[in-house]
Amino acid sequence: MKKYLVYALVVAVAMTGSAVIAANFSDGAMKQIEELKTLSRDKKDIPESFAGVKKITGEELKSWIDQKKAFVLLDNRVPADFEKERIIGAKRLSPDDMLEKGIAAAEALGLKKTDIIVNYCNGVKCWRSSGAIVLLQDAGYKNLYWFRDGIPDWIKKGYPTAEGK
Amino acid sequence: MAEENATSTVCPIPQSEGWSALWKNEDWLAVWIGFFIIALVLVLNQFKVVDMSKVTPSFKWATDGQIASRAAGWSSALDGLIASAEKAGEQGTVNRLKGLKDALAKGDRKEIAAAAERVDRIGGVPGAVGKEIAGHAKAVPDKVFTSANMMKVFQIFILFGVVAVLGLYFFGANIGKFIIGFPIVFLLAWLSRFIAGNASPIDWGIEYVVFALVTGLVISNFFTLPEWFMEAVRTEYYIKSGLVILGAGLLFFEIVQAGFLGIIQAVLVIFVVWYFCFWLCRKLKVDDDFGAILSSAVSICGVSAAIASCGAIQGDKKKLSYVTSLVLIVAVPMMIVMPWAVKSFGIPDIVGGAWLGGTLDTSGSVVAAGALISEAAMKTGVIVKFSQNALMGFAAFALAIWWSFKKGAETGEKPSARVIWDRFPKFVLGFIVASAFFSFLLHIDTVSATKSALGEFRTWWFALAFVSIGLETRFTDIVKMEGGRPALAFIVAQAFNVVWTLILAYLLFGGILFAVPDIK
Repeated sequence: MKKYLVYALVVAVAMTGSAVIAANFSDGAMKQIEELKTLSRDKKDIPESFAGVKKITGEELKSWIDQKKAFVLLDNRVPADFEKERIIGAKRLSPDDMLEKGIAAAEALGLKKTDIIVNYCNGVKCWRSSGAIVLLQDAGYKNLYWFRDGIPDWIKKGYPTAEGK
Repeated sequence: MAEENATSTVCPIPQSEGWSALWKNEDWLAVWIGFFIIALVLVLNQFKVVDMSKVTPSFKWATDGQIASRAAGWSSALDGLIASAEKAGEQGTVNRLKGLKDALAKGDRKEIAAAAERVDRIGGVPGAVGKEIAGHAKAVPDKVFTSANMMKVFQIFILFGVVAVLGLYFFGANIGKFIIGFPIVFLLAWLSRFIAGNASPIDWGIEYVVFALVTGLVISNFFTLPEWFMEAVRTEYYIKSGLVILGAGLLFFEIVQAGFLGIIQAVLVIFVVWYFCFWLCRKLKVDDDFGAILSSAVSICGVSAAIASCGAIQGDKKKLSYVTSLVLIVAVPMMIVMPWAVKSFGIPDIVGGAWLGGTLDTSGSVVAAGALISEAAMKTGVIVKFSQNALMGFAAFALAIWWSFKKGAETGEKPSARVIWDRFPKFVLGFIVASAFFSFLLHIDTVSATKSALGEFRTWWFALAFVSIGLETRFTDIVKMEGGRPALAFIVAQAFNVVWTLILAYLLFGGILFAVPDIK
């Protein structure tokens, strides 16, 4: 009896150790993702800029929307956050989705490699918008923009948002 | 502890138990229980059997009256925020804050909650205020009693019951009595958490541990508890299991960093306080046996040090229970007053934590008092406490050698490496292994996904432990022996300990001699 309990415990521990993460992104990108997650976990700011990524402010994004410029707005957060409140017209695609399903998650939204894509999440301590950019860039997307201050900044300025599913 | 060997008045000499110690020793059992719960959480999370972010029941509640009485205060806090948002030209922030103010004026809880959540999403200081108001407004008392919430509590009860019974089966305890008694202890723990979940204790910063302790004390001091019930009152068992799980929440670099300073502090506290207390005991004509147990209890880590030193010197068991009670009773005012002092006198959290860790005698009270200050204070306190615990084996070893010299060859036990090992608090090993596993082997995502569930389970063990401490403690036990002189010695030595350790904590953790360790 005691023996079997010990065996069961050993098996349980071994199973947990064998966590497998499905990754079809490059090692460099995966490493960057880990670094971003660690920053976020330690409640530190995400770096100001990334190589090859253009930044966009809240005001610029607002004028793009007002001018009906052709671009895709991605909300990179988890579903619960997205449903609570988002920028009007945003589609949801988080780096978590891409890590799980691969770049197919982006393709399912009809994203093309040449599209102008703006990414945002919960602001400077949130790793998801920068994380999504790292993965999209790794998959060959070229026209990536980063709204680093994210939704808190948008709300502060009093710009319109949408709520619900 | 005291009831293991009721026929003898002499502490049993710790025997080398061989491999059977792995399931017969309470410390080892705590390690296995902690590991089992951690493994279970990890497996269920890994295979997505249970969403670990949803296992935590809610205890938060506020009456409509409590919301109404706070509305004016919240409203004036919002005025200040509105003024600074207007200055900064943040029109969106201003609108949301005004919306919340209007909702507070109307007094509808649902509206207040919705408006406060909209403010929460602004982030920063307004966000924090919004979050607090939303938390109170949403916490309708009925929410605690919804079937979904009660089911979560029930599942934890079943899990803990089964795990505790399994452990005690190996331990050889009376399972039948435990199964009858455990639901009562658990119910008292639930009651304490329910009381602590009210808005007022939350505002005052009074945590569940205080209510658990008081609940236990009131019951044990007004009613005679039946012997079968005491089978389920297992303070150390609960505390140590909780501490092993706490290990999963401490990342290794934190221990290494504060552990070095922690060990320096522990050595200085133990040596100086031990000798002061022993000297004082002789001055007060308390006998040397008593003095040695008391000094170890004050300087090292309370109950377990008292047990170890009693074993090392073959002391009187009545003296051991006396010291154990003293330790537990003196911890009560200390764990309430010290966190208050840390907050009121602006002592930095980490210094405060180190202070608590160095002075409070039970590991559980360090956790409790630390929790009253902040997460960082709690972690630092535990780290310092563990450094002190780690030295317990050495201290007991030194004590055993000293005593064997003093008493000559009559004890018959030669000090050896084995003695150190036997005295070593084994649950500390479990804590370190859990911490290493979560620091180095697990992915960050797994660590963060299981954090709240493990925190919840740890809290339950501590709640059970504190109910038990209350139930085990009798005010009258203290007054009877040696005219209260040992109690006087203990209290004076403890006061000295408090002052001395605060000085050390400032020097070591306050950034004076070393950089302030990075603990969050």
